[in-house]
Amino acid sequence: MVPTNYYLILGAVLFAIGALGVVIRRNAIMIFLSIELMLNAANLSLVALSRQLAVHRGVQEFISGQIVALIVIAVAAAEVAVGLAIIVSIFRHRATVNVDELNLMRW
Amino acid sequence: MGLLFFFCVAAAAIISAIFMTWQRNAVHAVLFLVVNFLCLAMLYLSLGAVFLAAIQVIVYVGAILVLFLYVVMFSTPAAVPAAKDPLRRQVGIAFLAALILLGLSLGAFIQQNTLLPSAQLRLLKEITAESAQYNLEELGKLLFNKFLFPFEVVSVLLTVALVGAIFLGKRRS
Repeated sequence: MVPTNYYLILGAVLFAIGALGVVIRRNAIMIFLSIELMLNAANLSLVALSRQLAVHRGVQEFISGQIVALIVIAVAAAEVAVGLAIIVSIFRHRATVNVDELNLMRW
Repeated sequence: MGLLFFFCVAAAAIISAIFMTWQRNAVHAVLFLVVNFLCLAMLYLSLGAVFLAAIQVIVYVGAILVLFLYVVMFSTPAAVPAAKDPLRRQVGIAFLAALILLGLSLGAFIQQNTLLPSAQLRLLKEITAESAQYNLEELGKLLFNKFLFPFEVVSVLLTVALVGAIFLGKRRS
């Protein structure tokens, strides 16, 4: 049986890799992909921790954690739909998705 | 045996995540993320969250990442200019910041006792087995009793996102 810590460490590493991707990349779609990676790392940590909590409080807590993870996936889907629609709309106007060139709001 | 499986899948997840952030081509990056999400689905299976693993593959890989591929197809600039990155030095600082973030997180997790007492290990195994066996039944019972309100709110959220995405994506004539 794999201890919960191992899942948490993996979640932390994936989160850090996603955060690195968000900061480094200049393409808006790549930034979005890294955000999805961060969301999944958080999801993994959530499920592992709810399994650990279920050791003390019963299996219902684990199932509740899985339901919260499902809600996180649904929210991520909604966010991706709207965010990608925005990126497509920006690309239609400016013909670029390089975030360095999207600087209309800078003075 | 379970530990060996975990280490192999975790290594595959980390390697594909690193490759994803270092790709020039957006399509390749999405494909590496597909590999990463499939590894995560296997990890959910090993945790006993079987429905979540299925939803991860069907919804996250099969719908969201496919949507990413569509948008990558629509929004690739025609001529790829060799744009000089104005903040090249930022890469080193970003790497350092990510290492600090990782160190802080690991500092919180590694301090704790990683060797569980045998009673807890046995309980963990039982909970994983029970969740894997009665997953859908228990999920259904909880989703429509205790989590009814969040369920309905998520439905409204998805409808709003659908309307918003259609409106934002329409070509203004």
